[in-house]
Amino acid sequence: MTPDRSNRFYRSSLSKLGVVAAAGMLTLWGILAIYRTQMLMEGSPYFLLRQVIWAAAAWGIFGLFLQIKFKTLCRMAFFAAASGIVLLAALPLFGLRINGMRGWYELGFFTLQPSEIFKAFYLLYLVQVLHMRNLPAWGRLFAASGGIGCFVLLLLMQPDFGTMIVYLAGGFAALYFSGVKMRILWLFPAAAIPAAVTAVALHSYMRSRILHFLQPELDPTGGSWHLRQFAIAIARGEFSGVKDSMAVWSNSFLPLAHNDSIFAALCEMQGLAGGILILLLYIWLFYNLTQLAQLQISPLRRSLIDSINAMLIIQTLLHILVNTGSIPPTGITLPLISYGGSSLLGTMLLLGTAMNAAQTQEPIGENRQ
Amino acid sequence: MSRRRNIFLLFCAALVLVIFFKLLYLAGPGGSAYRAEALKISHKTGELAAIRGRIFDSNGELIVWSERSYDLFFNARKLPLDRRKMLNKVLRSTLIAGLPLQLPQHSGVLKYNLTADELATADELSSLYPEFSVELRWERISLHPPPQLGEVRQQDGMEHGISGWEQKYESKLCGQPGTFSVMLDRRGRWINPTFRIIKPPVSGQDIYLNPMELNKK
Repeated sequence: MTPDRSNRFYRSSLSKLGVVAAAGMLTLWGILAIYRTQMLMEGSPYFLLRQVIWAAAAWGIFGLFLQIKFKTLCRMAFFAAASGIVLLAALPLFGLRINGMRGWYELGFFTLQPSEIFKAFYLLYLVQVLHMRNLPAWGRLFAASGGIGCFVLLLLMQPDFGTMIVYLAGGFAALYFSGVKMRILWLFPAAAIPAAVTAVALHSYMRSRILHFLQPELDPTGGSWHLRQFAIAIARGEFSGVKDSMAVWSNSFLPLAHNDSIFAALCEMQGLAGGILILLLYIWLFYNLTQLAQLQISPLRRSLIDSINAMLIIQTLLHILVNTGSIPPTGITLPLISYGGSSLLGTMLLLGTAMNAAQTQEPIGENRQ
Repeated sequence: MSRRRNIFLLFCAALVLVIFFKLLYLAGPGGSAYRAEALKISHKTGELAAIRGRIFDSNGELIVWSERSYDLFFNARKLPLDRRKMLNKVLRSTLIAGLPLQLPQHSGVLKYNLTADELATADELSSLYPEFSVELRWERISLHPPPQLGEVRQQDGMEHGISGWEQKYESKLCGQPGTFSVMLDRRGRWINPTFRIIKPPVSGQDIYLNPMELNKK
């Protein structure tokens, strides 16, 4: 092994260890946080037990994912992305409606949200298509945009606005990190702005959310209620958090405190100190993923890890920005911490794909740049 | 590609800064208005009634004592017709004997002296439907009340003597009420693990009457 390769191997191993350690700590923190958001009112460890089972399953699948060869994973991606589209398309017919959204399949004693599970395959498909050297540039762009469009439209039909933004951002990240020219990339925001304006004009609930975000004093007990509860929960936590038995906002007032509002709940329970510690853990996780991407020789692997990292960063930032009242509210989970098997499994699949891409440095038949 | 990555990371760092300052503002002095609002919405303080002292005769025989009892109360304020119909159905299916078949038009007690089982049912009922509540009431009991004993009146959950010995020894019998604090959930229900006794109630003293007083008309 040359000194350069040896150094790269050492740095790569360190980054992988960092990813596993940060993800592990966040998963454990999430399990504890979920328990604490239920302890005053529910009095039963129902959510805790379910999340522990899901965490074990997600980490098990993550381990299995690392055993698959990257080439096999790439071959699976097209089929898996197509399956994802079929499953999302069938949701209006066979899906389960929860909180006004038809986004789950009921499978006996648990429910599964396909939009969470297929994130990794969606990105793998996009990055692969964008690196197909046997296709002309316009063909690659057309195939990738088609994939993004299919997923985004199907998510709009549910309607799952939060996940749709994550898919859109992930798709854009795949184009951006795969080297699509900037003058073409600018077309996406240029198209997204009129699309967003049309969506807001068509849906009254979106208009109402934006209006109450801009003018929270208009209806503090109605439209701005969610935003106020987020602010109160964070304010109550002050610097070190309230006692467990006094975490009333996490246990009662915050809507879906164990899921879509978990960051505000954490800030009430652990204060500013806890909130910043969580942010630092995420920064450590994303730093390690960035390092892994930088160490890749193959542009496909590098773009894939960068896109996965970008998707996770955007989802995390969106959740925290919503929970701090910095943007209008939308339902979105905090990766690894929020309650929900599909969300945890989806995140572990994303991390598993990134780790898998970083497993072997010089695979046969891949382009090097 | 490294340049693109740096641009993206710079954009993310700017958002992290926004989050950091927002957290700092809310957890610090900027959140004081929200903390005051939280206190107003979810914090309740109240008085804990003290048990009234007993009265004994000169032989140490008990003349009068207080017993705690619980009543099921109905609050009819601004009750829509649909809600009333639904509550009537609930009432008919409740396992508390002796309840009226229809809810009364005005607020009032539906059942006095709930048994232990009935109290558990009523407690559950009141947690599900805020129109019902369980009220604490003290009852002054005397098997053979002497004419000089006098009467008590219920006020703020406490018994106060208004005539006879009850009035004469009021300062000793009455005791000192305590105070408690509890947090409420978004429906205004008590969150039991948050219940705290700030000042415990002091029970009233027992009175031993002398023979002269007993013979006084």
